[in-house]
Amino acid sequence: MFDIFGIPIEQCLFYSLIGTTITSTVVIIGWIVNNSHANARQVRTEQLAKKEEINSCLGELENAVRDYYAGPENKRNLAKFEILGKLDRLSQIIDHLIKHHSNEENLYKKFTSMYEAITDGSFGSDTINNEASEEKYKRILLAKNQLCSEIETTFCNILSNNSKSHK
Amino acid sequence: MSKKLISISKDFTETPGGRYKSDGPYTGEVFRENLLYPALQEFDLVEVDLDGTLGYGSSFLEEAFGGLIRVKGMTLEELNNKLIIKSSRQLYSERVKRYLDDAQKMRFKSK
Repeated sequence: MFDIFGIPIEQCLFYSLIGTTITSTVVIIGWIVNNSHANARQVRTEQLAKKEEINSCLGELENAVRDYYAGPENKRNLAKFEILGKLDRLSQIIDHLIKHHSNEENLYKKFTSMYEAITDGSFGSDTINNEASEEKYKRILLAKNQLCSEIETTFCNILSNNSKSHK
Repeated sequence: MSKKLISISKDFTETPGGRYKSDGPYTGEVFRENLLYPALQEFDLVEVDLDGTLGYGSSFLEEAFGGLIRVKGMTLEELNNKLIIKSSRQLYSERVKRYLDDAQKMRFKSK
């Protein structure tokens, strides 16, 4: 049998196999850890983008509500459609959040409160009671602010749950 | 068993809004009086598809559906057996159920 520096070839092969196994294991573990962190970062980026989208949607909704309840007559019809469009988009995002993060009942409640505040009474009517508009607008803003703070809480929970699950 | 499908966007309008007849041409009351209530009288089962419109205000939904109990005198039990609400948005289908429940509660209170 051959010897390498006085060590029998079988022993050399055995040590080399152990070395290769250890190196491969370290590489695989490193890849898994790195991949899991990359996934966590990806999820975090997506969630933050979703939160940004909700907040921007709420900002645009607030402008449309102002135009509808307190703006000039010629802007009302377009504002009405914009409000319905934004509410529909928010509803879609919130449905998705609730489906995938099941403990967000408060978020849904706050959203429906805002929806009711904006569209109750005679929303979409050809005429509007201007005297009631200021009071109504205040009520809508209050509901919107409550929804915003619930959104903060929801996303804090989602992000903290994600980071826990990746630890 | 006879069944009727009403698609609000196809059979009524893509832009529903307002509560009473006096609010405009495509209000909750107009929908209830011209389409929904007659269909409930005529068919055993009525399915209302809410998709395809620009969206709904609560005023429209409350008047169209809650009004079936408040104004037309139907009962919640009757509507649970006859009326199916189809919507891709949880918001609208849940609101309709809520308005029906509220209208039923109001009816008991007023008795």
